[in-house]
Amino acid sequence: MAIFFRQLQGHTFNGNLADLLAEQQRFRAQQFSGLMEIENSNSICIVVVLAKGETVNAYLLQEEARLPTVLLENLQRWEDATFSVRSLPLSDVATRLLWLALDSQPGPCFEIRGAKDWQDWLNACQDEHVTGVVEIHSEACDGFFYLHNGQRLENESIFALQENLYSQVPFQAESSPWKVRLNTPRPETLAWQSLHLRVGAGQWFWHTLNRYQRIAGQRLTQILTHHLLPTIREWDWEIGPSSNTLEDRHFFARPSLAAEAYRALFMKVGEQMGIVLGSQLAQRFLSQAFEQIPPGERSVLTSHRLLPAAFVD
Amino acid sequence: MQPSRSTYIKWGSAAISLIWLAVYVWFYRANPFGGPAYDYADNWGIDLLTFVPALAAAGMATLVALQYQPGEIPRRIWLTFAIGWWCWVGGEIAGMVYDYFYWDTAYPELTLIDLCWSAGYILFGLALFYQFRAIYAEEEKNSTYLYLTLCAAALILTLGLTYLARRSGLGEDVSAFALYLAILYPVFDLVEGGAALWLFLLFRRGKWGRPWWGLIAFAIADSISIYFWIGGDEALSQKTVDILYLFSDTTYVGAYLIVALAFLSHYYMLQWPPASPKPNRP
Repeated sequence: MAIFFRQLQGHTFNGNLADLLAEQQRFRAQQFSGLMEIENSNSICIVVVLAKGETVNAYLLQEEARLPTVLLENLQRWEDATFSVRSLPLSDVATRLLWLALDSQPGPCFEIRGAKDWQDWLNACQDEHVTGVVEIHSEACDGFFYLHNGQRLENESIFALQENLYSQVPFQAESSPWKVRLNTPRPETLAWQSLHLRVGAGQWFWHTLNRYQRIAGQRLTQILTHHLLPTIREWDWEIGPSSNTLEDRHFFARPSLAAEAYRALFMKVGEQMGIVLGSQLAQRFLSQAFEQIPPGERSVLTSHRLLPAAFVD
Repeated sequence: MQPSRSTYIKWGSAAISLIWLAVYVWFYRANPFGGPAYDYADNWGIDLLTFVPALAAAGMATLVALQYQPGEIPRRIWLTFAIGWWCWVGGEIAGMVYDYFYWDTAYPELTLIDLCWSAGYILFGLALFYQFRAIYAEEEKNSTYLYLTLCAAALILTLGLTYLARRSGLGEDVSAFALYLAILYPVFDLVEGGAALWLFLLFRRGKWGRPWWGLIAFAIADSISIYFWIGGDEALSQKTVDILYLFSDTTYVGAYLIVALAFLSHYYMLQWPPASPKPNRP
């Protein structure tokens, strides 16, 4: 029954609603992110996405469409008392990309054969500044990655191959054709807002720290990022500030949760910059960096009140 | 939480600085070596009490500058600033040497002291220029020409002021060159003190701005001397003049101490790994 990340084994069983809820409870207890694929005897399939044990959304798969749905309502309508379930804990990056793909408008599926075709297609995407989630299925590899104005985002890429997850495209590893689909994100969805928030916060962080490093030097910039670590550790966020980038590999179930995390981190950034450069210059550099973010990401940050003025005393 | 070793050192140094200033004031007023008359030994004591803070300022500035990697903007700013302080240390040493040789006669018109002061001022100006460029220019650009233009403007302004001073009867007993030099210092003081004040307003409580406070203190100290030089002392009582001279000279020593303490604080700010910060939940 495996639909997504078929190369990964997961836990497959036949069970009823109670068994499904028990499995969800297991995810919650272990704070797993991942997916559950539930299929009845009529081959109707629902995919549930979980972030750190919390159910994010469920999707009814109908031919080419993925429709957001309420899991329990569907299960109650099904005549079968039991159904087959495949639960698969995944990395946060893999799960949130799957969420983004399921929340997007699926495009037509096409085949790519060989590395040359693949590179040609990527080049065409780059030329046309394509934005969307690319979904790949082949015998040996399933994967997703996000194209942002034609550029593949390294932190938003995941490929399942031989029971493992990779962030690099493992094209050379196999010879079978790839079924590729470009999913166009819907701006109104939470998955898209989460992504834009993540990208925007990352860019803001990068511009701010680069500017700070230019005036205060490498050592003080390292000290600044060092001061972010206790907050990150305390909340178990999978966020790594290194080399002036904010590598966010955490799956926040809602954009508001991500915004809270970024707010806490930018508070620390503002505080540390204020100690060294004074609040006026800290404010100025945060504002300058904010202006460098593309308008789309900036408006998502603004809508979550992530504004330069909020982070300096 | 127990205060760290660096906190003890910083506060200890601040306390020593205050004691140093108190000793300076006492020395200045009491003339302990020469009885009622100010003599060479007293002058030597005052010079030494000024020289040590100057050495501390230059040494701490150099230590901080060397904490940064070659090519980093802060290294360029603080190293230029530090070399400026070394020039002034050279000026203090030259002053002591000239006092030894010219105690009973006037100094020559152009001395090594003047060269050291002037070089120091030019380097402070360059450090200030680098600092402003780091703040206001978003991209790094080669703007050496801009700095040279500013220097030329200051020199031409001084030339104009020298001409005006001559016409109004100031410095009649000295050559035009000596008058030019005498006016150049206040011009530098005004420009660099003003620039440092601007940085003070920009950085406010930020630790980065503190080394510049020293230049503001020097500008204050020198402005009193300049005021007297242009005849301001004639309007004041002798007691007021004495108090203002004491204030000016103490501020001058205090300026060195401010720079040394600011760089000491800066040095500890750069220590890696930093003291573990407290986590705060959002």
